[in-house]
Amino acid sequence: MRVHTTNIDDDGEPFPRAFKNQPTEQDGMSVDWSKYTTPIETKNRARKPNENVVIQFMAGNARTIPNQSVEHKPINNPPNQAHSEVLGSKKTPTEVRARFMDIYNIILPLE
Amino acid sequence: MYNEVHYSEDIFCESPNIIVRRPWHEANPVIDIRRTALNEVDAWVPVSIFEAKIAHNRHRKNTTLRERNFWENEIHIDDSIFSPQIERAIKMSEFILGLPENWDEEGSPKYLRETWNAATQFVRKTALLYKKEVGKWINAPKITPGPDGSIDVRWKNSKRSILVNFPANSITPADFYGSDKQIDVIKGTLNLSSQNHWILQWLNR
Repeated sequence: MRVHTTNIDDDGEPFPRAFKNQPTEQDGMSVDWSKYTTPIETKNRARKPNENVVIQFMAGNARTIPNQSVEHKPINNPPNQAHSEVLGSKKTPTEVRARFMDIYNIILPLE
Repeated sequence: MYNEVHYSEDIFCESPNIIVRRPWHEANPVIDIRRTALNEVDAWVPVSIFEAKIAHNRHRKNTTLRERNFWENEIHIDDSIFSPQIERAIKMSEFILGLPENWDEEGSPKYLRETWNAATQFVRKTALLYKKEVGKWINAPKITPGPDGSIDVRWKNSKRSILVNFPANSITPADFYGSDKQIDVIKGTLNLSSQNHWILQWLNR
């Protein structure tokens, strides 16, 4: 999953709000399934790759967070076989964002 | 309760029972917190350096350039009253107030000063109560922009973390979640008018 610098603090750590659905709360949080891609490919799919951090978490851990489900949803435009979505509200309760903060690791920090 | 403004010596801030005093003859300003009643910690709220500067700027026409520079560049904190690390974290979080509408290009609203005040006053108050109870300062939290104009405050140590969210709507209570990533979990809502330093005691258990 990519996190843009607007949601990264001075220590290089994502803000809890980085875990959010886009474009609306009713949508999902876009992630890439590592089975079909690499961290650098995920980074390079950003409009400005150098402004993004790549983090990872286990889908199984995400599914233990309240109301969260993970679905593989490949897209064609632009093509991305790895594209997946983490569905379920991220705004409430606070537990959701707190628990994402507990399960992620940074794999490609800012350059 | 104080109701006087002494332009040359005291700077009266918005919190009614707090005076930020700067004796002109001393090198450093002294932040003087006064209580309305003995042993009623809830009766006062520490004033922030930012608020002190605002108050000072109201009366800056009465000050010299040197005095202005002193306040704007060389403010010191009496660390027997405040934790410098926590004050620094609060100061750094002021950037949140400067974020414009749609700052993330995803439609996020501006952050209200009331929300920031609620979050930072909570940080100060719980840290002071924790210090009073335990005898040492808690580490500084991260104070960051949250969703929908809310503000997140997150403390973390090697074993545990806790996230408190302060909604933009002041009617909605602050919501929190803490865990050790294993079995020890706390969660719920906070009454901000009560003493909540127990969450910091849980964090450092």
